[in-house]
Amino acid sequence: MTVEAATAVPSDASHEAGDNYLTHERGLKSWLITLDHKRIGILYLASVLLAFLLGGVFAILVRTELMFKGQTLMEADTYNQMFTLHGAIMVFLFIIPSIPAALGNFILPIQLGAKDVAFPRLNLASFYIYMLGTVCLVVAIVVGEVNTGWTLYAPYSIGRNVTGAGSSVLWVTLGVFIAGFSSILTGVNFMATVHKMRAPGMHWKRLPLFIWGLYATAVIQVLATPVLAITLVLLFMEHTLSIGIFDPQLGGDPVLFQHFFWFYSHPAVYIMILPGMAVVNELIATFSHRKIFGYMFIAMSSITLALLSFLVWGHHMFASGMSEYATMVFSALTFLVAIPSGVKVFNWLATLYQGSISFASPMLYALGFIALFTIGGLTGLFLGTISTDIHLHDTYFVVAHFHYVMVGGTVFGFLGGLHYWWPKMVGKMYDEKLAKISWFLVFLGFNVTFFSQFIMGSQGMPRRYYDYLDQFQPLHMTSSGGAYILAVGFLIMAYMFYKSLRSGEKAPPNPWASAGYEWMTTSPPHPHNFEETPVITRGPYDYHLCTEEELWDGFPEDFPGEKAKA
Amino acid sequence: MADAHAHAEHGDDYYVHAHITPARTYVLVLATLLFLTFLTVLAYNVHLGDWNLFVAVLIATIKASIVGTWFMHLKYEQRFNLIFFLGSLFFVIIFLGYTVNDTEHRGRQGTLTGVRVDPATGKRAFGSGSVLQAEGEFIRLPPLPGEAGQAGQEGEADRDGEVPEPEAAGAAAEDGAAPTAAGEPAEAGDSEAPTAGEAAAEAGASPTAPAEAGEEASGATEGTEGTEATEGAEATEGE
Amino acid sequence: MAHAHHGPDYLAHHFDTPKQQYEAAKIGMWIFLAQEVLFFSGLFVAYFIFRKWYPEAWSVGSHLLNWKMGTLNTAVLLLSSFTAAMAVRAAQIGDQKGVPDKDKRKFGGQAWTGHFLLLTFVFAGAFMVVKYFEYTHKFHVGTLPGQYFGCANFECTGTMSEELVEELRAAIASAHHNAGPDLVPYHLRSFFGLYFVMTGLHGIHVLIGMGLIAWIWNKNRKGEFSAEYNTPVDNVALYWHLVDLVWIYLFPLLYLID
Ligand SMILES: [Cu+2]
Repeated sequence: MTVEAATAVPSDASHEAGDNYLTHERGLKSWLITLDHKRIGILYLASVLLAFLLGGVFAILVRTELMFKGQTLMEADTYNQMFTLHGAIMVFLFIIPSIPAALGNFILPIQLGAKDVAFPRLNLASFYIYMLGTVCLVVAIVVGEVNTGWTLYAPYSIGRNVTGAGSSVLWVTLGVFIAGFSSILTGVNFMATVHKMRAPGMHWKRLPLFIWGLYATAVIQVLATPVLAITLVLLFMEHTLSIGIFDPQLGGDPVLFQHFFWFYSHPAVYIMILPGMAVVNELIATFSHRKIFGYMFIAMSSITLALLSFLVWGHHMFASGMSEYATMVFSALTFLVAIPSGVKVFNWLATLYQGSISFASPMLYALGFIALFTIGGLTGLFLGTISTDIHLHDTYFVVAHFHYVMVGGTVFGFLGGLHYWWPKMVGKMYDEKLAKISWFLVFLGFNVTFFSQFIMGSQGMPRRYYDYLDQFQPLHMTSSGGAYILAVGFLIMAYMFYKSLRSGEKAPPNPWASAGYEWMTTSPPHPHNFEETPVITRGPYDYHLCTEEELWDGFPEDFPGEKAKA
Repeated sequence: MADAHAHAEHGDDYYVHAHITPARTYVLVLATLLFLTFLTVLAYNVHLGDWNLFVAVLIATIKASIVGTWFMHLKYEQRFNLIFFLGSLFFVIIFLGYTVNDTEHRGRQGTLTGVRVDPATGKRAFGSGSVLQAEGEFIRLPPLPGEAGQAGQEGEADRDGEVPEPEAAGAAAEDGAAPTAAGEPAEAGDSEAPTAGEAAAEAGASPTAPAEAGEEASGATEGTEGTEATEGAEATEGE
Repeated sequence: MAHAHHGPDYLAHHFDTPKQQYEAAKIGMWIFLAQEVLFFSGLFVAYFIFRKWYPEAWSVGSHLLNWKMGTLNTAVLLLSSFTAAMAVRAAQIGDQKGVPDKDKRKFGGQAWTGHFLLLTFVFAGAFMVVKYFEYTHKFHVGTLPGQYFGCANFECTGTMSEELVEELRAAIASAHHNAGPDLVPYHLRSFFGLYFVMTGLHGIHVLIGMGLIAWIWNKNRKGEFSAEYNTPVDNVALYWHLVDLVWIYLFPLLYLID
């Protein structure tokens, strides 16, 4: 291996043999006050998975309600709360922290060859801030009656003339505000880490693309999230003191709220999708076993996407009564986003070309990502075009579009990354067959659920409605059926990971025969990631510079890449 | 600190070498800042119309750059820090520019689309700043003692148009009375508000001016406040 | 991992050199400051839009504020920025052991760091005291945000207080944008909504800054800083300067509208 770790003096390696971050310290307390980025990553992982479960339960309830016309499970108002909670929890508590805070926290410093992130205490603080935000959101659920939708649009959320949208909105506002600071602090931490904690020899052109993606994400987290924070402060004040900024009855402007909200929330879409793309870079390269095509283009397209994301927020407001000038500018700029997105997709495809592809489960997620993200991205163009958006706005077409991007994109990226790094994180392999079955069900279920929503939407089914016309019955039925397939897929996956924890085979350091830096350390990693600070002498995708031994390190006689193919 | 100790065992890249600014520079900087503060107050007392805002922001920006350059050591900072911090201002400009691009052009659609109308009320929709100025709502102060006679003169301009009463706000309603009850609510008449002419002039530049001006003149401005929002229908019930 | 060779006490285990630690801390701080800029930006965007929409309200509103107090506070905050910068300088100079007397820099060392931090703290406190008087006056008169405008002490009786009426007359008379001598712009309530949010959030930042300065002062008292290591003083001062920067804009925009 090109790093020192590989050639480290055997005696040094043996005196702490078997010591890893999981066994280094024990007990609940050692976890709760840990400063180790890997443990904090695991804490985040557990939390976001819990949030995912909760959001998933709300999703299933929503889909079940919509299965049949009329009332199926719940009252209309309960239904409003269900989709609000589904959205708020999935966006703020699951997707946004999922890849950066959970996987990123674990992997980023290892890939950099650093011992930890730049500010470990801040890292732990941001986890607890996230938990505090979660608590506020849970209080909101308990207090009840959060029925604003996750977007919290004024004037409805101000609570005037609305029965019920009272104090619970304040709790949601507070919760999202607090969770936002967790996101900001993670961003600050990651940026400083990438700038200052790189191992010797790792210049910017040797930075793994996962890190490029997270870096771009961090820029957005730092620059966009504070605007959400100030928006929520104003909303909070409007709700409690009626300060007359968003409230039309006092001369405020509710459209201004939308500007503020989307100035954050459009870039937030990239906080969600960029890390997903970042994971896919790693997966595509590893499972094609070749140098990634167009490294610099992919890296720069991440940065470009991050910057462009600040220029297009108005495309969410074409039907909000914005001025036509603004509408035209926003629409035109929105199309620009397609360029860097396209650059990424083409580079991935070019990497696959003539690669020696193994269809291991993480790779299936990566391929799923490319397909679904492409559908999601292209339907985005329909919505960025003013004339078609007027027809499609606030229909199921929009719902399907962003689920293709958020679930087909980010969640697939997250799951791919989770499968991929699972052996590194817990030191155990998982049942590949079960993983493939669950992937198939998730992929199938997802498409059944949401493709039918594209059709419904284009036929005019409005989103967020409790009931619908007869003509939509079959499609709603299909969509709900897909949701159940999806749920079964996730249950099998949960069982698969559980089984791995219980009785998984011990993972070698580099089970996927990857050239990535994080595979150069043991699985699970040493408390300080590497026994010795590695010295980097090649890029993370330089398969042509790796010896066979390097790629087969650990279990040379039993190359799992081969097994995965079988 | 460069000159404090020699750390022979480590390279030059091991310890921090901070740049130490002479105390006199800091005193000078402070004096400049105080002078600029004086200047901005001075500029406030000179009537420059729209330029007052420009001058105020300009002086503030000079002050801010001075604080940044010397007090915050941006002059000696790592280049990335400078770029990122100043870059953040670029995003502020985007935020401001794009939002203003909406708020300043809203409700002024030019030749093709005509005046935007709120479907709920049939009134001109919330928008363009200049028009709102002319329609701006005012609360009339109680007349000064001995000034009662003059009030009638002004009264011509008074309309019964409702002021969007904060009654609708739950809290205030519970308190029994809205704060505005003090002054008799009145909307500024088009002829009265000094900005009306301005608005008309501006509107005159576009072919839709007659429509807009006509609407104003016909007194249809009542309830404009209400049409601002999606809740238009409700807020106009005062008519 | 062997810790044997690791550097000075203040060097955290995951850094290789003090310089790396210092630069990481600074980069983190500047990124955080950029975040603060964006945080306040929302308020400024709202400010400019509403100012454009409701010029009368903004003009009259600013004349309801006491520009003398605002100027005083600006001066106080600039002074505090100066002392903060001097505190950093004192810390950077360090104890100057072994430096011949004639080459010694003035106002350097631990004691001066403490003095300057204390002064900064006092100025910050003075700022808050002035703000306190401004706020209580507004509560008392009823120049309050939104639906509470005209409600002295947040109690809405249905009539404006005599004082408020008087203040309003004076403000309208001196404002360049006004619709008539006794027409009070309705949107004053939005102006004061923004005024309180802007100055309130700024005030919270001042309070946090005071806490940080006190914390640093105590660390300095314990002798934790030296010429080689004074990053916390540096970073807290940076934060403090940012608070000053925000006020540099708030002052003319709120108090000095023609
Ligand atoms: Cu968007």
